[in-house]
Amino acid sequence: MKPVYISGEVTLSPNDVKSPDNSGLSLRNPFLAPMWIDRINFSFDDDYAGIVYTDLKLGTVPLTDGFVPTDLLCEPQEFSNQVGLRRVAWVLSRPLFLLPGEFLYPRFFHSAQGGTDPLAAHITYIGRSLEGGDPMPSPGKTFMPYVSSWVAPSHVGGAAYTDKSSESNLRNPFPDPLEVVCMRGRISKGSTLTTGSAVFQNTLVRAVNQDNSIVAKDNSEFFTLFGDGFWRTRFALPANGFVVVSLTENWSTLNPANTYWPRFSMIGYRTR
Amino acid sequence: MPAPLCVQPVPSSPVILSSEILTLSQGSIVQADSYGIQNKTDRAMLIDRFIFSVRANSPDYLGGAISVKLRLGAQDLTNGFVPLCVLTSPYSARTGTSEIYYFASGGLGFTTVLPLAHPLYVAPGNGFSAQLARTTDGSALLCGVNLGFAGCATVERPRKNFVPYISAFSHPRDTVNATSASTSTNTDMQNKFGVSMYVDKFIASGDDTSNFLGINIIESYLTDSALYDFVDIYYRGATRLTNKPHPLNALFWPGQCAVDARMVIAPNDWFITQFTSVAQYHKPVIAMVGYREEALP
Repeated sequence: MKPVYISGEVTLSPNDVKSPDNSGLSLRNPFLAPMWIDRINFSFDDDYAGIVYTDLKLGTVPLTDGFVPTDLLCEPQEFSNQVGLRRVAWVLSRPLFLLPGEFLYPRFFHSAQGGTDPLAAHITYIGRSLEGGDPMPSPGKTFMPYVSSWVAPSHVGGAAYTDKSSESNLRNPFPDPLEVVCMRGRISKGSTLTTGSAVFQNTLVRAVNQDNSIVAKDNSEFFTLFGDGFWRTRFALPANGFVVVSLTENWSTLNPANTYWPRFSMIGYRTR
Repeated sequence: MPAPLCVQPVPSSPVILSSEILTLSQGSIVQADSYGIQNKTDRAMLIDRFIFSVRANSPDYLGGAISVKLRLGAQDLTNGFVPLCVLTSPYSARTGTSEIYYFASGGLGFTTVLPLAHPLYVAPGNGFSAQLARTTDGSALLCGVNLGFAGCATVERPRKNFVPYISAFSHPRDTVNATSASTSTNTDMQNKFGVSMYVDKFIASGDDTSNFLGINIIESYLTDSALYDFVDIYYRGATRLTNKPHPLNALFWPGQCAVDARMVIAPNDWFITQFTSVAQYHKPVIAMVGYREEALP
Protein backbone atom coordinates (compact mmCIF):
# COMPACT_ATOMS: atom_id res chain seq x y z
CA MET A 1 0.00 0.00 0.00
CA LYS A 2 1.30 3.44 -0.77
CA PRO A 3 -0.05 6.90 -0.08
CA VAL A 4 -1.71 8.82 -2.85
CA TYR A 5 -2.73 12.46 -2.96
CA ILE A 6 -5.14 13.61 -5.65
CA SER A 7 -6.28 17.18 -6.12
CA GLY A 8 -8.32 19.28 -8.47
CA GLU A 9 -9.29 22.92 -8.60
CA VAL A 10 -11.63 25.21 -10.46
CA THR A 11 -12.35 28.93 -10.51
CA LEU A 12 -15.93 29.91 -9.75
CA SER A 13 -17.72 33.12 -10.58
CA PRO A 14 -20.83 34.04 -8.57
CA ASN A 15 -23.66 31.55 -9.09
CA ASP A 16 -21.36 29.22 -11.03
CA VAL A 17 -21.73 25.48 -10.74
CA LYS A 18 -18.50 23.83 -11.85
CA SER A 19 -16.37 20.76 -11.40
CA PRO A 20 -12.56 20.68 -11.33
CA ASP A 21 -12.75 18.11 -14.09
CA ASN A 22 -15.94 17.41 -16.01
CA SER A 23 -14.66 14.02 -17.08
CA GLY A 24 -13.34 13.26 -13.61
CA LEU A 25 -10.43 11.37 -15.15
CA SER A 26 -7.78 13.50 -13.49
CA LEU A 27 -9.32 12.68 -10.12
CA ARG A 28 -8.80 8.95 -10.51
CA ASN A 29 -6.14 7.09 -8.62
CA PRO A 30 -3.10 7.68 -10.88
CA PHE A 31 -1.96 4.10 -10.20
CA LEU A 32 -5.26 2.81 -11.67
CA ALA A 33 -5.51 0.51 -8.65
CA PRO A 34 -8.04 0.11 -5.85
CA MET A 35 -7.70 2.72 -3.17
CA TRP A 36 -8.95 3.89 0.17
CA ILE A 37 -9.85 7.53 0.70
CA ASP A 38 -9.20 8.57 4.29
CA ARG A 39 -9.67 12.29 4.13
CA ILE A 40 -11.05 14.96 1.83
CA ASN A 41 -9.73 18.49 2.08
CA PHE A 42 -11.57 21.49 0.71
CA SER A 43 -10.08 24.93 0.41
CA PHE A 44 -11.37 28.13 -1.13
CA ASP A 45 -8.62 30.61 -1.62
CA ASP A 46 -10.24 33.97 -1.66
CA ASP A 47 -11.56 36.50 0.80
CA TYR A 48 -15.01 35.20 0.04
CA ALA A 49 -16.76 34.87 3.36
CA GLY A 50 -19.91 33.05 2.33
CA ILE A 51 -20.63 29.41 1.79
CA VAL A 52 -19.45 27.33 -1.13
CA TYR A 53 -21.69 24.32 -1.67
CA THR A 54 -20.40 20.92 -2.71
CA ASP A 55 -22.09 18.06 -4.50
CA LEU A 56 -20.15 14.79 -4.38
CA LYS A 57 -20.83 11.58 -6.28
CA LEU A 58 -19.19 8.21 -6.72
CA GLY A 59 -20.16 7.33 -10.26
CA THR A 60 -23.91 7.83 -10.21
CA VAL A 61 -24.21 7.21 -6.48
CA PRO A 62 -24.62 10.42 -4.49
CA LEU A 63 -22.51 10.95 -1.38
CA THR A 64 -24.32 14.20 -0.71
CA ASP A 65 -27.95 15.12 -1.05
CA GLY A 66 -27.30 17.52 -3.88
CA PHE A 67 -25.39 20.63 -2.92
CA VAL A 68 -24.46 20.74 0.76
CA PRO A 69 -22.74 23.65 2.53
CA THR A 70 -19.10 22.57 2.41
CA ASP A 71 -18.37 23.62 5.98
CA LEU A 72 -20.89 21.02 7.12
CA LEU A 73 -18.99 18.25 5.35
CA CYS A 74 -16.84 17.00 8.15
CA GLU A 75 -16.92 14.88 11.23
CA PRO A 76 -15.66 15.59 14.74
CA GLN A 77 -11.91 15.48 15.05
CA GLU A 78 -9.32 16.87 17.35
CA PHE A 79 -8.60 19.80 15.10
CA SER A 80 -12.25 20.64 14.50
CA ASN A 81 -11.81 24.22 15.43
CA GLN A 82 -9.50 24.71 12.49
CA VAL A 83 -12.47 24.14 10.27
CA GLY A 84 -13.80 27.44 9.07
CA LEU A 85 -15.68 28.45 5.99
CA ARG A 86 -12.71 28.39 3.65
CA ARG A 87 -10.83 25.35 4.92
CA VAL A 88 -12.55 22.06 5.60
CA ALA A 89 -11.01 18.67 6.36
CA TRP A 90 -13.37 15.76 6.28
CA VAL A 91 -11.65 12.82 7.97
CA LEU A 92 -13.87 9.88 7.10
CA SER A 93 -14.53 7.78 10.18
CA ARG A 94 -14.94 4.91 7.75
CA PRO A 95 -12.54 5.16 4.83
CA LEU A 96 -14.14 4.94 1.42
CA PHE A 97 -13.00 2.11 -0.83
CA LEU A 98 -12.79 2.74 -4.57
CA LEU A 99 -12.34 0.14 -7.26
CA PRO A 100 -9.82 0.74 -10.06
CA GLY A 101 -11.04 3.51 -12.31
CA GLU A 102 -13.62 4.81 -9.86
CA PHE A 103 -13.36 8.36 -8.66
CA LEU A 104 -15.24 10.90 -6.61
CA TYR A 105 -16.80 13.53 -8.81
CA PRO A 106 -17.21 16.91 -7.10
CA ARG A 107 -19.14 19.95 -8.21
CA PHE A 108 -19.03 23.31 -6.46
CA PHE A 109 -21.58 26.10 -6.27
CA HIS A 110 -20.52 29.68 -5.54
CA SER A 111 -23.58 31.01 -3.74
CA ALA A 112 -22.51 34.67 -3.92
CA GLN A 113 -23.79 35.08 -0.35
CA GLY A 114 -20.53 36.44 0.98
CA GLY A 115 -19.26 38.41 -1.97
CA THR A 116 -19.23 38.45 -5.72
CA ASP A 117 -15.54 37.97 -6.46
CA PRO A 118 -14.48 34.87 -8.37
CA LEU A 119 -12.84 32.28 -6.15
CA ALA A 120 -10.77 29.17 -6.64
CA ALA A 121 -12.10 25.96 -5.12
CA HIS A 122 -9.71 23.12 -4.35
CA ILE A 123 -10.46 19.56 -3.40
CA THR A 124 -7.83 17.03 -2.30
CA TYR A 125 -8.28 13.32 -1.70
CA ILE A 126 -5.81 11.84 0.77
CA GLY A 127 -5.74 8.09 0.54
CA ARG A 128 -3.87 4.85 0.06
CA SER A 129 -3.44 2.92 -3.16
CA LEU A 130 -3.49 -0.85 -2.89
CA GLU A 131 -0.75 -2.97 -4.39
CA GLY A 132 -0.62 -6.59 -5.48
CA GLY A 133 -0.22 -8.22 -2.09
CA ASP A 134 -2.59 -5.97 -0.17
CA PRO A 135 -5.83 -7.52 1.05
CA MET A 136 -9.00 -6.47 -0.73
CA PRO A 137 -12.03 -5.76 1.43
CA SER A 138 -14.84 -8.27 1.21
CA PRO A 139 -17.89 -7.24 -0.81
CA GLY A 140 -20.51 -5.73 1.44
CA LYS A 141 -17.90 -4.92 4.07
CA THR A 142 -17.08 -1.40 3.02
CA PHE A 143 -19.01 1.76 3.71
CA MET A 144 -20.08 4.85 1.85
CA PRO A 145 -20.76 8.19 3.49
CA TYR A 146 -23.90 10.15 2.85
CA VAL A 147 -24.52 13.73 3.89
CA SER A 148 -27.84 15.57 3.74
CA SER A 149 -28.45 19.10 4.90
CA TRP A 150 -31.02 21.71 5.75
CA VAL A 151 -30.29 25.38 5.26
CA ALA A 152 -32.86 27.25 7.32
CA PRO A 153 -34.23 30.62 6.22
CA SER A 154 -32.21 33.60 7.34
CA HIS A 155 -33.78 36.24 9.58
CA VAL A 156 -32.75 39.52 11.14
CA GLY A 157 -32.48 39.96 14.89
CA GLY A 158 -35.09 41.87 16.90
CA ALA A 159 -37.94 39.41 16.47
CA ALA A 160 -38.88 35.79 17.11
CA TYR A 161 -39.34 33.16 14.44
CA THR A 162 -40.05 29.49 13.99
CA ASP A 163 -38.78 27.29 11.19
CA LYS A 164 -39.02 23.63 10.40
CA SER A 165 -37.17 21.36 8.00
CA SER A 166 -39.08 19.07 5.69
CA GLU A 167 -38.98 15.30 5.39
CA SER A 168 -36.79 15.63 2.34
CA ASN A 169 -33.98 17.62 3.98
CA LEU A 170 -32.21 15.46 6.56
CA ARG A 171 -32.95 12.02 5.25
CA ASN A 172 -31.86 8.57 4.20
CA PRO A 173 -33.11 8.16 0.64
CA PHE A 174 -31.66 4.67 0.27
CA PRO A 175 -33.27 1.26 0.75
CA ASP A 176 -30.60 0.40 3.34
CA PRO A 177 -30.16 1.69 6.88
CA LEU A 178 -27.92 4.70 7.35
CA GLU A 179 -25.80 4.83 10.48
CA VAL A 180 -25.75 8.48 11.48
CA VAL A 181 -22.41 9.29 13.13
CA CYS A 182 -22.89 12.97 13.65
CA MET A 183 -25.15 15.92 13.09
CA ARG A 184 -23.74 19.34 12.51
CA GLY A 185 -25.26 22.70 13.23
CA ARG A 186 -23.82 26.11 12.55
CA ILE A 187 -25.14 29.65 12.51
CA SER A 188 -23.73 32.46 10.46
CA LYS A 189 -24.16 36.09 11.29
CA GLY A 190 -24.18 37.85 7.97
CA SER A 191 -21.37 36.22 6.10
CA THR A 192 -19.30 35.19 9.12
CA LEU A 193 -19.54 32.19 11.33
CA THR A 194 -20.74 32.73 14.88
CA THR A 195 -19.48 30.65 17.78
CA GLY A 196 -21.11 30.49 21.16
CA SER A 197 -22.73 33.88 21.04
CA ALA A 198 -26.17 34.89 22.27
CA VAL A 199 -27.77 33.55 19.14
CA PHE A 200 -26.68 30.05 20.17
CA GLN A 201 -28.50 30.35 23.47
CA ASN A 202 -31.59 31.93 22.00
CA THR A 203 -32.06 29.34 19.31
CA LEU A 204 -33.98 26.30 20.51
CA VAL A 205 -34.01 23.01 18.67
CA ARG A 206 -36.44 20.13 18.56
CA ALA A 207 -35.87 17.10 16.36
CA VAL A 208 -37.97 14.02 15.70
CA ASN A 209 -37.53 11.08 13.37
CA GLN A 210 -39.89 9.47 10.87
CA ASP A 211 -41.75 7.71 13.70
CA ASN A 212 -42.19 11.00 15.53
CA SER A 213 -39.79 9.72 18.18
CA ILE A 214 -37.75 12.40 19.83
CA VAL A 215 -34.19 12.86 18.64
CA ALA A 216 -33.66 16.17 20.44
CA LYS A 217 -36.22 17.06 23.06
CA ASP A 218 -38.22 20.27 23.00
CA ASN A 219 -36.31 23.46 23.53
CA SER A 220 -32.81 22.03 23.52
CA GLU A 221 -30.44 24.94 23.26
CA PHE A 222 -28.55 25.09 20.00
CA PHE A 223 -25.51 25.77 22.15
CA THR A 224 -25.98 22.51 24.03
CA LEU A 225 -26.27 20.42 20.90
CA PHE A 226 -23.86 22.20 18.60
CA GLY A 227 -21.65 24.29 20.85
CA ASP A 228 -18.56 23.07 19.03
CA GLY A 229 -20.39 22.55 15.76
CA PHE A 230 -20.86 18.82 16.19
CA TRP A 231 -23.32 16.52 17.84
CA ARG A 232 -21.86 13.03 17.92
CA THR A 233 -24.62 10.55 17.36
CA ARG A 234 -24.84 6.83 16.84
CA PHE A 235 -28.21 5.83 15.57
CA ALA A 236 -29.47 3.96 12.54
CA LEU A 237 -31.88 5.73 10.26
CA PRO A 238 -34.00 3.11 8.47
CA ALA A 239 -34.61 3.03 4.74
CA ASN A 240 -36.33 6.24 3.68
CA GLY A 241 -36.11 7.51 7.24
CA PHE A 242 -35.67 11.17 8.07
CA VAL A 243 -35.15 13.66 10.85
CA VAL A 244 -37.23 16.82 11.06
CA VAL A 245 -35.69 19.75 12.89
CA SER A 246 -37.89 22.49 14.37
CA LEU A 247 -36.33 25.78 15.37
CA THR A 248 -37.65 28.34 17.82
CA GLU A 249 -35.59 31.45 17.22
CA ASN A 250 -36.07 33.85 20.14
CA TRP A 251 -34.02 36.57 18.54
CA SER A 252 -35.90 39.60 19.83
CA THR A 253 -32.91 40.66 21.93
CA LEU A 254 -30.51 40.37 19.02
CA ASN A 255 -29.40 43.31 16.95
CA PRO A 256 -31.90 43.94 14.11
CA ALA A 257 -29.01 45.06 11.93
CA ASN A 258 -27.70 41.50 11.84
CA THR A 259 -28.95 38.61 9.77
CA TYR A 260 -28.67 35.11 11.22
CA TRP A 261 -28.63 31.95 9.22
CA PRO A 262 -28.75 28.45 10.81
CA ARG A 263 -27.92 25.32 8.85
CA PHE A 264 -27.65 21.66 9.66
CA SER A 265 -26.27 18.47 8.22
CA MET A 266 -26.52 14.80 9.01
CA ILE A 267 -23.54 12.57 8.24
CA GLY A 268 -23.99 8.84 8.01
CA TYR A 269 -22.57 5.68 6.49
CA ARG A 270 -24.18 2.75 4.78
CA THR A 271 -22.76 -0.50 3.53
CA ARG A 272 -21.66 -0.59 -0.05
CA MET B 1 -19.37 -10.03 53.77
CA PRO B 2 -17.72 -7.38 51.63
CA ALA B 3 -14.39 -8.23 50.10
CA PRO B 4 -11.47 -6.63 51.89
CA LEU B 5 -10.09 -3.53 50.30
CA CYS B 6 -6.69 -3.93 48.81
CA VAL B 7 -4.28 -1.52 47.23
CA GLN B 8 -3.43 -2.19 43.63
CA PRO B 9 0.14 -1.50 42.64
CA VAL B 10 0.44 1.48 40.34
CA PRO B 11 1.40 0.02 36.96
CA SER B 12 2.86 3.22 35.65
CA SER B 13 3.43 6.78 36.62
CA PRO B 14 3.80 9.92 34.53
CA VAL B 15 7.28 11.11 33.86
CA ILE B 16 8.97 13.94 32.03
CA LEU B 17 12.64 14.27 31.27
CA SER B 18 13.60 17.87 30.90
CA SER B 19 16.74 19.65 29.81
CA GLU B 20 18.02 22.86 31.21
CA ILE B 21 17.06 26.03 29.34
CA LEU B 22 19.48 26.41 26.48
CA THR B 23 20.34 29.91 25.37
CA LEU B 24 20.72 30.33 21.66
CA SER B 25 22.40 33.23 19.97
CA GLN B 26 22.66 33.82 16.26
CA GLY B 27 24.57 31.11 14.45
CA SER B 28 25.09 29.07 17.60
CA ILE B 29 24.97 25.32 18.10
CA VAL B 30 24.28 24.27 21.66
CA GLN B 31 24.46 20.82 23.20
CA ALA B 32 21.92 19.96 25.89
CA ASP B 33 23.26 18.48 29.08
CA SER B 34 22.28 14.85 28.66
CA TYR B 35 22.06 14.27 32.42
CA GLY B 36 18.61 15.82 32.65
CA ILE B 37 17.21 13.86 29.73
CA GLN B 38 18.41 10.46 30.86
CA ASN B 39 16.40 7.68 32.46
CA LYS B 40 18.06 7.59 35.85
CA THR B 41 15.52 5.24 37.37
CA ASP B 42 15.45 1.46 37.40
CA ARG B 43 12.14 1.41 35.56
CA ALA B 44 11.35 1.36 31.89
CA MET B 45 10.23 4.66 30.41
CA LEU B 46 7.82 4.94 27.54
CA ILE B 47 8.05 8.36 25.95
CA ASP B 48 5.03 9.40 23.92
CA ARG B 49 5.77 13.02 23.10
CA PHE B 50 8.63 15.41 22.49
CA ILE B 51 8.14 18.92 23.82
CA PHE B 52 10.02 22.02 22.74
CA SER B 53 9.47 25.23 24.60
CA VAL B 54 10.87 28.46 23.22
CA ARG B 55 10.98 31.79 25.00
CA ALA B 56 11.98 35.09 23.48
CA ASN B 57 11.63 38.71 24.44
CA SER B 58 9.75 39.66 21.34
CA PRO B 59 8.84 37.88 18.15
CA ASP B 60 9.08 41.11 16.22
CA TYR B 61 12.81 41.55 16.48
CA LEU B 62 14.03 38.02 16.06
CA GLY B 63 14.64 36.06 12.94
CA GLY B 64 16.21 32.94 11.60
CA ALA B 65 15.18 29.42 12.42
CA ILE B 66 15.95 26.81 15.05
CA SER B 67 16.78 23.21 14.22
CA VAL B 68 17.28 20.22 16.46
CA LYS B 69 19.33 17.03 16.22
CA LEU B 70 18.13 14.23 18.47
CA ARG B 71 19.55 10.87 19.46
CA LEU B 72 18.54 8.20 21.90
CA GLY B 73 21.71 6.51 23.08
CA ALA B 74 23.51 5.62 19.87
CA GLN B 75 20.40 5.78 17.69
CA ASP B 76 19.62 8.71 15.46
CA LEU B 77 16.11 10.03 15.89
CA THR B 78 16.57 12.76 13.31
CA ASN B 79 18.45 12.98 10.06
CA GLY B 80 20.92 15.55 11.30
CA PHE B 81 19.39 18.90 12.13
CA VAL B 82 15.66 19.09 11.47
CA PRO B 83 13.74 22.39 11.59
CA LEU B 84 11.83 22.74 14.82
CA CYS B 85 8.77 23.89 12.93
CA VAL B 86 8.05 20.39 11.66
CA LEU B 87 8.36 18.78 15.08
CA THR B 88 4.99 19.97 16.11
CA SER B 89 1.36 19.19 16.25
CA PRO B 90 -0.07 22.45 14.97
CA TYR B 91 -3.25 22.17 16.95
CA SER B 92 -3.16 23.66 20.42
CA ALA B 93 -5.98 23.57 22.93
CA ARG B 94 -4.73 26.85 24.33
CA THR B 95 -4.75 28.92 21.21
CA GLY B 96 -7.00 26.97 18.89
CA THR B 97 -4.23 26.98 16.35
CA SER B 98 -0.56 26.17 16.54
CA GLU B 99 1.62 27.62 19.24
CA ILE B 100 4.01 28.86 16.59
CA TYR B 101 1.22 30.77 14.94
CA TYR B 102 0.24 32.19 18.31
CA PHE B 103 3.82 33.23 18.83
CA ALA B 104 3.98 34.99 15.49
CA SER B 105 0.78 36.77 16.36
CA GLY B 106 2.43 38.45 19.30
CA GLY B 107 3.05 35.83 21.97
CA LEU B 108 6.43 35.88 23.65
CA GLY B 109 6.99 32.19 23.51
CA PHE B 110 5.50 28.95 22.44
CA THR B 111 5.54 25.26 23.14
CA THR B 112 5.38 22.70 20.39
CA VAL B 113 4.55 19.08 20.96
CA LEU B 114 5.30 16.19 18.65
CA PRO B 115 3.10 13.27 19.67
CA LEU B 116 4.57 9.88 18.81
CA ALA B 117 2.34 7.29 17.19
CA HIS B 118 4.23 4.60 19.12
CA PRO B 119 5.73 5.18 22.59
CA LEU B 120 9.50 5.12 22.59
CA TYR B 121 11.13 2.80 25.11
CA VAL B 122 14.01 4.27 27.09
CA ALA B 123 15.88 1.66 29.09
CA PRO B 124 17.21 2.43 32.58
CA GLY B 125 20.48 4.28 32.16
CA ASN B 126 19.78 5.20 28.55
CA GLY B 127 18.98 8.74 27.58
CA PHE B 128 18.53 11.37 24.92
CA SER B 129 21.09 13.72 23.55
CA ALA B 130 20.16 16.87 21.73
CA GLN B 131 21.81 19.68 19.84
CA LEU B 132 20.09 22.90 18.86
CA ALA B 133 21.18 25.19 16.09
CA ARG B 134 20.07 28.69 15.22
CA THR B 135 20.68 30.30 11.88
CA THR B 136 22.64 33.50 11.51
CA ASP B 137 19.89 35.68 10.11
CA GLY B 138 17.60 37.82 12.21
CA SER B 139 18.51 39.90 15.21
CA ALA B 140 21.13 39.31 17.85
CA LEU B 141 18.57 38.87 20.63
CA LEU B 142 18.90 35.67 22.57
CA CYS B 143 16.21 33.08 22.96
CA GLY B 144 15.86 30.19 25.36
CA VAL B 145 14.83 26.65 24.47
CA ASN B 146 13.82 23.87 26.82
CA LEU B 147 13.44 20.25 25.72
CA GLY B 148 11.09 17.79 27.34
CA PHE B 149 10.37 14.11 26.78
CA ALA B 150 7.11 13.07 28.37
CA GLY B 151 5.53 9.71 28.94
CA CYS B 152 5.35 7.20 31.74
CA ALA B 153 7.65 5.06 33.84
CA THR B 154 6.55 1.49 34.15
CA VAL B 155 7.65 -1.76 35.72
CA GLU B 156 6.75 -3.64 32.56
CA ARG B 157 9.38 -3.67 29.89
CA PRO B 158 8.12 -3.93 26.28
CA ARG B 159 9.35 -6.72 24.04
CA LYS B 160 9.94 -4.44 21.12
CA ASN B 161 10.56 -0.81 20.54
CA PHE B 162 9.40 1.59 17.87
CA VAL B 163 12.13 4.11 17.26
CA PRO B 164 10.98 7.31 15.54
CA TYR B 165 12.98 8.85 12.76
CA ILE B 166 12.39 12.28 11.34
CA SER B 167 14.01 13.62 8.24
CA ALA B 168 13.20 16.76 6.33
CA PHE B 169 13.86 18.70 3.19
CA SER B 170 13.81 22.50 3.16
CA HIS B 171 13.45 24.59 0.05
CA PRO B 172 16.36 27.02 -0.17
CA ARG B 173 14.94 30.48 0.21
CA ASP B 174 15.13 32.57 -2.95
CA THR B 175 15.24 36.30 -2.36
CA VAL B 176 15.70 37.32 -6.00
CA ASN B 177 13.24 35.56 -8.24
CA ALA B 178 9.46 35.72 -8.02
CA THR B 179 9.29 31.94 -7.87
CA SER B 180 11.81 29.16 -7.59
CA ALA B 181 11.91 25.37 -7.54
CA SER B 182 13.92 22.70 -5.76
CA THR B 183 14.14 18.94 -5.44
CA SER B 184 15.35 16.88 -2.51
CA THR B 185 18.15 14.36 -2.90
CA ASN B 186 17.85 10.63 -2.40
CA THR B 187 19.30 10.95 1.09
CA ASP B 188 17.16 13.77 2.45
CA MET B 189 14.12 11.61 3.20
CA GLN B 190 15.57 8.13 3.24
CA ASN B 191 15.33 5.05 5.40
CA LYS B 192 19.00 4.85 6.24
CA PHE B 193 18.65 1.80 8.41
CA GLY B 194 19.03 -1.87 7.70
CA VAL B 195 15.42 -2.66 8.53
CA SER B 196 12.05 -1.69 7.09
CA MET B 197 10.52 1.56 8.22
CA TYR B 198 6.87 2.42 8.71
CA VAL B 199 6.41 5.94 7.37
CA ASP B 200 3.53 7.35 9.34
CA LYS B 201 3.07 10.79 7.90
CA PHE B 202 4.45 13.77 6.08
CA ILE B 203 4.44 17.10 7.86
CA ALA B 204 4.72 20.43 6.12
CA SER B 205 5.78 23.77 7.42
CA GLY B 206 7.72 26.76 6.29
CA ASP B 207 8.59 30.32 6.95
CA ASP B 208 9.27 33.59 5.32
CA THR B 209 11.67 36.27 6.30
CA SER B 210 9.15 38.32 8.20
CA ASN B 211 8.75 35.65 10.82
CA PHE B 212 10.75 33.87 13.41
CA LEU B 213 11.52 30.21 13.89
CA GLY B 214 10.00 28.91 10.75
CA ILE B 215 6.56 30.29 11.33
CA ASN B 216 4.19 28.02 9.61
CA ILE B 217 3.35 29.68 6.34
CA ILE B 218 0.65 27.13 5.81
CA GLU B 219 -1.21 28.68 8.66
CA SER B 220 -0.28 32.15 7.51
CA TYR B 221 -2.18 31.29 4.39
CA LEU B 222 -5.28 31.36 6.50
CA THR B 223 -4.96 35.08 6.79
CA ASP B 224 -4.10 35.89 3.22
CA SER B 225 -5.83 32.87 1.68
CA ALA B 226 -3.45 32.61 -1.22
CA LEU B 227 -1.92 29.51 -2.69
CA TYR B 228 1.74 30.22 -3.21
CA ASP B 229 3.78 27.07 -3.06
CA PHE B 230 3.33 23.79 -4.90
CA VAL B 231 4.73 20.39 -4.02
CA ASP B 232 5.01 16.94 -5.54
CA ILE B 233 6.05 13.80 -3.66
CA TYR B 234 7.71 10.79 -5.28
CA TYR B 235 8.64 7.40 -3.93
CA ARG B 236 12.06 6.09 -4.98
CA GLY B 237 12.29 8.96 -7.39
CA ALA B 238 10.04 7.48 -10.06
CA THR B 239 6.70 6.69 -8.45
CA ARG B 240 4.68 9.85 -8.23
CA LEU B 241 2.29 9.78 -5.28
CA THR B 242 0.24 12.68 -6.59
CA ASN B 243 -1.78 13.39 -9.71
CA LYS B 244 -0.07 16.78 -10.10
CA PRO B 245 1.76 19.37 -8.02
CA HIS B 246 -0.39 20.26 -5.03
CA PRO B 247 -0.80 23.65 -3.44
CA LEU B 248 0.94 23.15 -0.12
CA ASN B 249 -1.92 24.40 2.01
CA ALA B 250 -4.66 22.64 0.04
CA LEU B 251 -2.90 19.36 0.78
CA PHE B 252 -1.66 19.95 4.30
CA TRP B 253 -4.18 22.40 5.67
CA PRO B 254 -6.63 22.09 7.25
CA GLY B 255 -5.61 19.17 9.30
CA GLN B 256 -2.53 19.09 11.39
CA CYS B 257 -0.26 20.28 8.63
CA ALA B 258 0.27 16.58 8.17
CA VAL B 259 -1.02 13.93 5.82
CA ASP B 260 -0.96 10.23 6.46
CA ALA B 261 1.50 8.08 4.54
CA ARG B 262 1.06 4.75 6.35
CA MET B 263 3.55 2.98 4.15
CA VAL B 264 6.29 0.47 4.89
CA ILE B 265 9.47 1.20 2.98
CA ALA B 266 12.45 -1.09 2.56
CA PRO B 267 15.96 -0.30 3.80
CA ASN B 268 17.58 2.48 1.80
CA ASP B 269 14.30 3.43 0.09
CA TRP B 270 13.54 7.10 -0.09
CA PHE B 271 11.03 9.78 -0.98
CA ILE B 272 11.67 12.77 -3.17
CA THR B 273 10.04 16.10 -2.44
CA GLN B 274 9.82 18.42 -5.38
CA PHE B 275 8.82 22.01 -4.78
CA THR B 276 7.71 22.93 -8.28
CA SER B 277 6.96 26.56 -7.53
CA VAL B 278 7.73 28.51 -4.37
CA ALA B 279 7.10 32.18 -3.84
CA GLN B 280 9.93 34.60 -3.22
CA TYR B 281 11.25 34.52 0.38
CA HIS B 282 9.29 31.40 1.26
CA LYS B 283 11.09 28.42 2.70
CA PRO B 284 8.68 25.48 2.89
CA VAL B 285 9.74 22.25 4.56
CA ILE B 286 8.45 18.73 4.18
CA ALA B 287 9.31 16.19 6.86
CA MET B 288 8.90 12.44 6.91
CA VAL B 289 8.04 10.84 10.24
CA GLY B 290 8.68 7.12 10.40
CA TYR B 291 9.22 4.34 12.90
CA ARG B 292 11.44 1.31 12.77
CA GLU B 293 10.74 -1.73 14.86
CA GLU B 294 13.45 -3.05 17.08
CA ALA B 295 13.32 -6.28 19.08
CA LEU B 296 14.43 -5.86 22.66
CA PRO B 297 16.62 -8.47 24.33
